[in-house]
Amino acid sequence: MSDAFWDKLMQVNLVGMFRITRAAKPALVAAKGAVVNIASVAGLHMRGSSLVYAATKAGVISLTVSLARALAPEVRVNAIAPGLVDSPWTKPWPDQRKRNSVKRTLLARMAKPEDIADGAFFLCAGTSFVTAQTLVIDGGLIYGDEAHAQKMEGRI
Amino acid sequence: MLTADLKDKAVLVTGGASGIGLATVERFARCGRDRRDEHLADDPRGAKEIARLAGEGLRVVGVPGDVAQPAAAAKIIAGTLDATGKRLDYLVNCAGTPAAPSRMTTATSTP
Repeated sequence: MSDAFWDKLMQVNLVGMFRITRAAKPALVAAKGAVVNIASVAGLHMRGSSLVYAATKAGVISLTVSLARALAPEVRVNAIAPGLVDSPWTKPWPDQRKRNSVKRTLLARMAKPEDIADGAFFLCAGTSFVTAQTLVIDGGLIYGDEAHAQKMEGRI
Repeated sequence: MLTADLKDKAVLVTGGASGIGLATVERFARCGRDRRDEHLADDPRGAKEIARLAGEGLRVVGVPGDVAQPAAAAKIIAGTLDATGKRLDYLVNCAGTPAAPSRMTTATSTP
């Protein structure tokens, strides 16, 4: 867990997000707009990912609440915490690793990027009274237990 | 599918060249949105995806930049506002970079 790895993930995942939002503030306030930050279930439960990634995503959830306060009442700020997403990031993962996650997911599949996009669209344009929240879109990964994994055995 | 009347609204999606960001770009664009996305300047996927969406008649503009660079934010927002007629309604921060692939780096195994 090198210092360079820490720096890279902090800059991209957390500090960069803050800087963009800070730069966008005047326009967002004028438009009475909304911000959605992509976090991760790793930022809520601190497992299934690298220590650094989990820390940056927990930071995103914290930043979301602070920004929701700072930009209120004009701008709403929410986060989405995806579970396992079938995306270019996870494409090279070993199949077994993905299958283990899917077995624990109540809805028994990975998220499509579109599932997460639906949530972002809702938080921006489908509601006007939700702010400072983290919407978990993980198909029930958080609540999948060993019994569920066994039930799914042979079906995944 | 949830839809909304988003005429005249503008959205910026960072990390819009692939994955969740790209799906978000498409979600807004297909709802009649005047979309701008940001992608890494050296990410060839961005230009290709924009060309594909433009080919379908969707309004998507690329705003290259790297969110990890301190000076980039002001340029990305300025580029966005130039493209939208100074308007920005929604900001979706998707830009991110994943964990190291090694299983030895999981939060649970390295407390």
